[in-house]
Order: sequence, then C-alpha cells, then structure tokens
Amino acid sequence: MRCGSPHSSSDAFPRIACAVSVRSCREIAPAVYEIVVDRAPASGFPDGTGRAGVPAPEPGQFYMLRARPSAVLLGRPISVYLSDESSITFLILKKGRGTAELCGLRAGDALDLVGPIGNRFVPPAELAGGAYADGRTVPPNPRVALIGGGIGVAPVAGFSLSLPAASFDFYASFRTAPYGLDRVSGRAASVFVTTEDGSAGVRGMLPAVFEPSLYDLVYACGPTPMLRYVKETCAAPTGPSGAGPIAFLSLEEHMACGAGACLGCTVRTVNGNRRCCVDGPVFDSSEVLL
Amino acid sequence: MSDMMNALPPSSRPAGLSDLSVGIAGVRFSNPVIAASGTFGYGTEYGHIIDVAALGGICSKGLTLDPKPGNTGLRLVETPSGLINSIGLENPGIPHFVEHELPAMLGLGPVVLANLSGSTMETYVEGAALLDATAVPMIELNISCPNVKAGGMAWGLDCAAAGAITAAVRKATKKPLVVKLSPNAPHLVDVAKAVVASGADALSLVNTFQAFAVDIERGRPVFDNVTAGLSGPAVKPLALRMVRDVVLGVGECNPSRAGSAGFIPVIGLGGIACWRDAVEFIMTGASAVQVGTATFANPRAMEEIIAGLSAFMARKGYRDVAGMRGVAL
Repeated sequence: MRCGSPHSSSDAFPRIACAVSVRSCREIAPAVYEIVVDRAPASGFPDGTGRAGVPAPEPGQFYMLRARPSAVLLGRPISVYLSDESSITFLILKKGRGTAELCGLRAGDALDLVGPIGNRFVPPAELAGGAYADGRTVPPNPRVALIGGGIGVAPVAGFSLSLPAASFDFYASFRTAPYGLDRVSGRAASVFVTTEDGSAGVRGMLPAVFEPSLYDLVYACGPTPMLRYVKETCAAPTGPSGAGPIAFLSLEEHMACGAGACLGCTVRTVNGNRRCCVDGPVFDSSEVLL
Repeated sequence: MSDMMNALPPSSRPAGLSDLSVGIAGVRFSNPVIAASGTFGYGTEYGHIIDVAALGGICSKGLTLDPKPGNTGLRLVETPSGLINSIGLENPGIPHFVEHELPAMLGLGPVVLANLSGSTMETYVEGAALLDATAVPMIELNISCPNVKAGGMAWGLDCAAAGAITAAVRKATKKPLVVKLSPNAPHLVDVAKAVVASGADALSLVNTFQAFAVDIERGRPVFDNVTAGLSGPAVKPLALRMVRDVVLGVGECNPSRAGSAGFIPVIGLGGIACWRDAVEFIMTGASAVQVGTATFANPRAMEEIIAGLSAFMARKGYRDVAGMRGVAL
C-alpha cells in the first residue's frame, strides 16, 4: 500500500518527544519569527527523557512544536530552517493561536517538541546519473532549482545549505518584504526574488521569473496555488527532450499526531492516499493530486 | 509522599507496588490503559517515540470489510480543548489488516483489539468472521463512528438496531466482544441494555460527539461530510457522566456485580488526558480506560497516565484497580 518512488522513505528516522529550551526568538519580517531551540532536552520537566538530545533533522523534515504552557491542544508542524550540533532554528509565520504562542516565546522558555518527522529532500547528488521512477532519468550533472514561497522558503533555504555552492538557482516569492535568504545569497548560482507589491525583486509571482526548461530537478515549498503551478509547469513538455524537470513538492496539511496514526493529513496521490506527515511532507509532483 | 503514606491506616498500606492488571471479558491486560481506536494506527506508528509495550492494550484503526479512502476535504479542526475530526474510517480493509498489520500488532505486547466497523449488517458479519479466524484476542464492535454516510453510528443510535447488529456479530465470532457506544444516542442507557442483552461481553464508551464547524470566509461547512466528531478534554465531563449513567442504569455493568457471572465491564473513554482523568473514570465504575486525542497532543500521555495511576494507587493504598473501581458512584 505504501509503494512509491524512491524518495518516500516511510518514517525510518528516530524521533523524540520532549521539552526543549528556547535560545532566542525574534521577529525577522512582519509576523515572521526566527526561533532557535536547544537540541538537549530541557531539565526540570516531568517528561525530560534524559536521552542525549533531539535527533538531527534531515533537510525537509519537520517537528511538531507547542509552547509551554499552552492554551492549544496540539503541536504545530514546523519545518526546520537551520540546525547544528546543539540547536535547531525554525521560521514561524504567526497565523493562529498556536503559532502566536510559539512566536511569543522568549529565551529560557520551554516548548514541547516531537520529531524529527517525515521524509526528506533527496539531494541531487543521490539522483544524478541514475534512473528515476516511471522511466525518467536524471543527468549526471543535473540543473537544479530550489523554490520557496512565503514561509515555505525556510525548509528550502535550509536544504540549500547541504548542496555544493553554485550548484543550484534559488527562487523566492513573497507578498512583500523577503526573508530567510541571508545564507542563500552567497551560495546560489543565481537568486530570483519576486514580490507581489514590487517592494523587492521582480514585481509579481513565481511565473514571472521561473522557466522550467532550464532545470532537471526542482525542489519547492510554499502555498498550494504556487505548488500547483510548479507541478503543472514542470509536467508540461519542454524542448526536444520532451519531459519537464522532476519536481519535489513539500506539502503542508493540518495535522494532529505527526506520527502517521490519525490520518488527518491525508494527501491524495495517483497511488492512493498518503500521509503528509510520515509518507511526506516531500512528494513527487507527478504523484500528488493538488 | 511519605507523609501521605504515613497518614494512611496500616491496613491500607501497600506491601509493594499496586497491581495495575485488569481482566476484561476473560482477557488479561497488564494495566487499564488502552490506546483508543483511530488514534494509534496499528500500534507500530508510535514505536519510534514511546515504549508501546508498556500499554495495556491497543485498539486498531476502525476496520471495514473493504478498503475505504476516507473523507475528502479538510479532516481536522482544533477547538478550545478539543479536536473535531472527519477522517471517515480510512482503512485498508480487513483482509489487508489481517495479512499486513495484525501480525506486527500482535507482536507488540499489549492486548490487541480489532475495531470492527461497517456499513450494512452483512459487511459487519463478514468482517467479524474474518477476524474470528485470526489470533486477535478481542474485537471492539464500532457502532458509533459519526463520520460515514452509511452505517457506522446509525447502528448505535437506536436500541433495536444496536441489539440486532450486536446479535449478528455475536453469532459470527466467539472472540470476546466489546461494543463501542455513541454519545449521540438519544437514550444511551437503553442502547447499552440492548447491546448487553444481545451478547456484548463488555462496553466501551464514548465515541466522539457529533459536531459542526463553519468556514466563515466561504460561508459554508468546514467539512465535506458536514458534521464530524468532537473529542478531547472538552468532552471529558460529558463522557464521565455517560459512564456513570450506564454503570448505574445497566445492572450487568454495575461494579457491585464484578466477579459474578454476567458482569459486563465498562471501558471508559472521552477526553482522558492525564492520570487524574483516568482515576475519575475508574472511580466512576470503569474497569479500564482508553486514551486517544491526548496522545496527539502528547505522545507520552499514556506512559504518564500509567505511571501516575500506579503512584496514586500506591499513595492511596489501592492494591488493585478493582479496589478503586466505582468508589465514587
């Protein structure tokens, strides 16, 4: 039932559920907060596990986060932006009550964390020069585009840090002021920014700058309409070779458990229902029905 | 804690750890904490996060004879202290469950309850027969799912229907049969009586409360299936009152009958989030409890409930769960 393309590992990563301490939390753009947490479980909480720490995330994975104390019931799925040996950094868009609580945390506060959860962005190096699914192949030196829309820029920007410098182009689309690009700018071959209000980069949205025929592999995270565009434009035949790029989309759904148990985050695909949390969040665009 | 222990009369001081094991319809559970159906997959999903073997039991996701893709559209809405779900019994079908999920589930350690759902009586009976041929120790008959158009909760709202489906499934299996009741039944105690009279070995109550939510931007129902099921801490006092109604209203379910032939134990559920909640249900007459939504909020909730129960029983001098069962009635 969970057959699928090679990128869809089914929850093979170790996870932890514990409280961790906030190192810093600051607003980096209107309603967008950068929050850094310790990977060591916080002491002084009854569920401090004593385990070594939160397992390191792979690019594309996420955690369920909830402030402590919290007036909401469930954690919120938040993608990893950056991580190192001792900390994990998230970008959070203040949207509802749960994210407002998280964005209101201060250094020294605690939050509940479960994760890392989900599959990952499979790096170009693992796909290069090989056969992919459905008879598609990836050339030895694939041309790579990374695309982030709004808060979806976080996991893609994080992923870019694991790729060789200048081995990819980066596209970032925002309504207004861009964020999350500090570490991308120096490493991407080219960075293309769009804003709907024209306050930075090209005025408009992703289609104003993105040309799928230039790429063999595309990795995208952002709002559903943008991902739908990426899916469709990458599926359209380009040039004499016929097929467009292979595109991987990181999806977002409402979630309850983040463990693959509740079936609340179901994603419809050509292979039947998949769970966004543990079968995703990264799906082959040709597989997912948006 | 030692001060409180000293305050207890010597006769009630525990010699050691309290015995958390409970018997339900002839099946022994190592403790009275069971993962509720639909909240714990097939048990293996949480194996990376918690010690699943420590649980008393695990109810499978609701199973139907044929695979079901579940409902379209948004499936979850969080409410103050609650969660509305519209999953719609998404499951791979009983044959697939038996072949691919059940073997691993049985190897986890806790008692496995296969949660049997359906649409028509025929699909329930055929599903029960398939489960009867497996090693699953217990069947939980789900006549209370509010999220499917055909069958499901419709069987659990009315005494005659509930009695008929229970009797039919009873004939199809010799496995111990727990019948899971709906809080949406207008006359829950009468439904419980009908189910008991038709061969249930135990009852579990309650399933989710039928609820509704509006997408105010679009001016239409949030859920494609329109109504959906509310769970979580918000429903706990209601569920607890319903457990009380049933154990007081159905003679066979009264804890005073425990130990005698014909006793029908009640498994309480609905919004249990911490060990104090579990104690409340047991003191209200439940022999065991199920925990669901709390696991979503805190994957370690059941581990913490088991530990908390054990400490509470030791502190209070309860040697076993039966000693605490129904004391608040």
